[in-house]
Amino acid sequence: MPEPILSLTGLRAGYGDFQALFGIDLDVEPGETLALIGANGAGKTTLLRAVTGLVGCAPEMVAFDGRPIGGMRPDRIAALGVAMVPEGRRLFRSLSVEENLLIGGERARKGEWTLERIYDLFPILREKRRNPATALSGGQQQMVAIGRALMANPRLILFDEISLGLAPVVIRDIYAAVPAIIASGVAAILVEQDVSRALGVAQRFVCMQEGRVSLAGRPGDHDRAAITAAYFGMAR
Amino acid sequence: MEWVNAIVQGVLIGGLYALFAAGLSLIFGVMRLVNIAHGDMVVAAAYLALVIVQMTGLHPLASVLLVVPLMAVLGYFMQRFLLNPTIGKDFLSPLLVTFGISIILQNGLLVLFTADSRRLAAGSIETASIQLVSGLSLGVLPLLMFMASVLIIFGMELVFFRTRLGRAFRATSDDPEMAQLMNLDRNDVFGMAMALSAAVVAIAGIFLAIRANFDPASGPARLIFGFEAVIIGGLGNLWGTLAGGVVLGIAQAIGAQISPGWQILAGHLVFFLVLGLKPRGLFPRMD
Repeated sequence: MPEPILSLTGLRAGYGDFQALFGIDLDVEPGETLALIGANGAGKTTLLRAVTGLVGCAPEMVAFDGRPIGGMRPDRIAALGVAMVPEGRRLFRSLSVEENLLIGGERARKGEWTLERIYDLFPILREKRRNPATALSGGQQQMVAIGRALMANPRLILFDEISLGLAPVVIRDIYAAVPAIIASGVAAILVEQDVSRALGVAQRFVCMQEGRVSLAGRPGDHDRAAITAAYFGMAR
Repeated sequence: MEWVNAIVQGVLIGGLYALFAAGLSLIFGVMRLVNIAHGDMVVAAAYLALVIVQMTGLHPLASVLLVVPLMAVLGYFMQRFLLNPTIGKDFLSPLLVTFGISIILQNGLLVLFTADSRRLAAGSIETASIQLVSGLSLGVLPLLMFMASVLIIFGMELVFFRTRLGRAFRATSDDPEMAQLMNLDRNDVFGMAMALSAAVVAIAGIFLAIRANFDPASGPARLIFGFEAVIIGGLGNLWGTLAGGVVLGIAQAIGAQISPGWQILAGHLVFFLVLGLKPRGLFPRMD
């Protein structure tokens, strides 16, 4: 077994008095894609925010490459090689498409992802590179958000609901790029409402329910009924 | 011709008001902070220039070379050690800290320099003028200062829209949380914004010291003029800020032409008028 790139141990986190995560344990191996599924409010986004440092937690609860990073400053965690494609894209609206990509590469690690590689992956962005990022269609904005995260040449990339609010044909285009991203060797956590889509690209999945892991394994290990039960909490 | 003259003088002083305003606008834009101490920083820079000129014998305009870097460094550390620890939780705490800095600066200057009003003598250039037509002449110094203000605002625009630092400023302004995920150290970005603001403040302070009498209590009025120029011009638009400064300068000059007592009041009235008719300013860029 290789050393996991990300390791969560008894992760508890929340906002003020509200606790969203109640002791999560999970590992992500280098180069692996892990699907994180679960209903709204299961704590998926909070988990990603704890990994990126946007939500505080105890240092040893999150280990990146064997090193405790829980509660570290977000920019320091980013510098280690963690990038996020946030829910709702959150592009910088006063920056052009190209500037959004460039700022993703701010003090980036060395690696294969460059502006040119991003434009090869999403050719439409080359055409629109001088436009304000928010003048693009939803799908194109999602491409910018993915490109912005890749520009950092991360070792772990966190995708939060990349298909949310997009038309099916656009989702297909976005997901067409996922194999190329995974092939570059980056590990990924894929948070997705569309369970079959997520299980289609991931090697393993973790299903969350009310801040706890309700089921985990390989997509083939469990039948749909078991996953549905873990998703909605009907198993008990 | 008297009126044309008044308007021309108003335009020229408007450049100085735009300089007061530009640094204020930058700080608000990047960190959503209203720097109450901004005017007092201008006055502190004026005193710093005074001390440097007295100690070194430099020409007041040449003191820029020392005052600008000194103020920039002071601004950076003021941000890192006094303001950053309070930023992010709510907007009131950093506002109160700047209010405190304002009081400390005013009283510190009072202890060091007494309440006597001072002026920085710039020599023969002060009285030099160019006659445009008979009855209308431009002072060389005010004209130089106006051109310098335009250049500085142009330079700030370049920094803001054409450099990596400016990109970091805009990203932090758009979405501070995401900017952190872009590997940007927020404390450093804010520090650099204050450093740039303080560098502009330094130039504004020197110009103020040459153009007018100043004393330790002169700061708040400069802050008000700066505020008014920002609001008249529209938030987030430095060229608008320059226009706002010019509008304010013209209003004051016309007021003074009517009656000396109307000078400041006329400026405030125009400010209220703009606020009433176009609350977002004449050339808004920021939401």
